Amino acid sequence: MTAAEAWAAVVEGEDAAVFAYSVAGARVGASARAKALNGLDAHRAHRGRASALVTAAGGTPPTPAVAYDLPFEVTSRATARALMALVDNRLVGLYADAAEQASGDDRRWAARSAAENATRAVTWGAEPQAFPTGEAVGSAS
Amino acid sequence: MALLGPVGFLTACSSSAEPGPTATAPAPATVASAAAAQENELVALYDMVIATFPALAAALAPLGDQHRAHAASLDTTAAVPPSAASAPASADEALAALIAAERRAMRQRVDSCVEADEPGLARTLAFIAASEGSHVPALRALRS
Repeated sequence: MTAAEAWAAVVEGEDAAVFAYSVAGARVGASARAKALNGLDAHRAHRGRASALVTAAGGTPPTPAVAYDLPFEVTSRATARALMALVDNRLVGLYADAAEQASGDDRRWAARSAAENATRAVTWGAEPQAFPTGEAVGSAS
Repeated sequence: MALLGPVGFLTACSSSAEPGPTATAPAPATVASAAAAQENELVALYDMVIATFPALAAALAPLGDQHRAHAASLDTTAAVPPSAASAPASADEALAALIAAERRAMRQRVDSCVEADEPGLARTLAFIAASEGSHVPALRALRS
């Protein structure tokens, strides 16, 4: 995996997150709406920065999808929260892969973004995770 | 739909990919073993809180175990130190101490991720920072 490929995977993950937050944010309920909108803004901003990093690494940013197949229907506050937790947790691995390929400030941003997504996933009801740390030291992913 | 609208800032962020000087960067083993030692300090803190407030054990033991896994993934020779911290007076105080420790650990893991010379170690440390971040809202939810 190259840096351009790792950042492109982040762009796709963030694009899916923007879609998911748009769908789920409408159904999450009034008390959580501001939080969902903050998350939506964060995912849009991250998609933008990751896209610029694809270009900086010599790649071409992926074209946004028109729509995404959701893993389950969002029909309630609970399913809305579960969908946002899912896309946030999925991004953790994509940012960790980007941290592996990047250096300096870009790597710092990748690691912080991994932490930010893992934290937000728990606020939506996900269980805190150890994440796959056992096999990664000294091995290419 | 708004979600498919233009993203004006898509190219607004310029990259600053230039890494800083690396001459003084610690060796990978040092980064990993220092991070493992800090993970084990967290394990000791969890153990102490669980021993002092057994009612919290069911909620806290899985989080402490995740730090054990982190330490083991970084350095299998690292050991859990005897707890230096004195027992907090209340469960809420203990949870506040754990939250502060997790937030500090998350920042330290981001720093060590940046310092790591080996890419695979950087990936591991990013995952560990993420795990520690995820513990914070879980601990907040336990506060009364």
